[in-house]
Amino acid sequence: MRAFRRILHPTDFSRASAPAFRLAVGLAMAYRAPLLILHAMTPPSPFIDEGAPPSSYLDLLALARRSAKRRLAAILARARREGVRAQAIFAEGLPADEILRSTRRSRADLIVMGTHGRTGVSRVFMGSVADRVVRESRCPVLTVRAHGR
Amino acid sequence: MAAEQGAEGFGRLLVPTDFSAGSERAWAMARRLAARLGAELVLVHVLVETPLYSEGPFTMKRARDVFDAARAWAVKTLGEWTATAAAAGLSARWVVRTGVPYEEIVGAAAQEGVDLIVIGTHGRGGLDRALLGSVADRVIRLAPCPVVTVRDTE
Repeated sequence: MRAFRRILHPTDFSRASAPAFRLAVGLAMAYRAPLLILHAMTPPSPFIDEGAPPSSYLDLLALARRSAKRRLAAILARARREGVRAQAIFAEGLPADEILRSTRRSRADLIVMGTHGRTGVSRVFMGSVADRVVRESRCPVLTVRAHGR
Repeated sequence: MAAEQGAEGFGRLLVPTDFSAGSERAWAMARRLAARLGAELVLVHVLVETPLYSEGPFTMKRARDVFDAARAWAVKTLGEWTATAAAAGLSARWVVRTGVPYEEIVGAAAQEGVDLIVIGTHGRGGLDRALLGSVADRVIRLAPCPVVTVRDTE
């Protein structure tokens, strides 16, 4: 039986991603598969404010990039400490688009991602990113609810 | 607590099946996972009660017969599927439940204390892409554990 060759774990650094991260690391270890950790940053919207010079948008963008890359590097280091062959992918765009694109490009054969599952009424909302990835991904998608059980 | 789970915590996998192509792909995926993780496989099939129409030739007895035939066929097929897994050295068994599929699947996951559900989806191209399959969709939202979705077409 064919094993997973490459596992992709998209993260938004939120608590909803944490259980999915642990599972992704566990599966990468079990399958001795490389783990690709993807963060897709949605660039901040340029604010329309006559007082703000264009440079402040670029400053903001640079700040957001730096911060996202730092957090991505921290997660990558955590995965590597577990002994997983991990690699980070930083992308900019709509998260669902970038996740699907990276999956295709990297030929990942499993996506492990968190969903913003909450209790009560909002439990029925899967989280629009996971929702689109589950619908459109050609490879299997493992969804992990933020507050399972 | 899901937050404490690792892959080594996958002791039991639930695989809902309606015997469709998508279910078969999910079953193949589940066997791969179980082989590597040493997990037990539990197949679940949900029978839907035949609606009863008391008029005409479709009597209660007839409805019962149809239901029984469906059940017998499901049990036979589930037996074949589990036997194939067992022949490959996997631990597998099946359960049949009756009711609303997504409710019974989520219920079976809780009752069996499974760590993962592997379910097929009816993913198609074009417009139908929006239709995940309402069963898989609801299972993802309501399951007590992580869920792997497997598309039925490449």
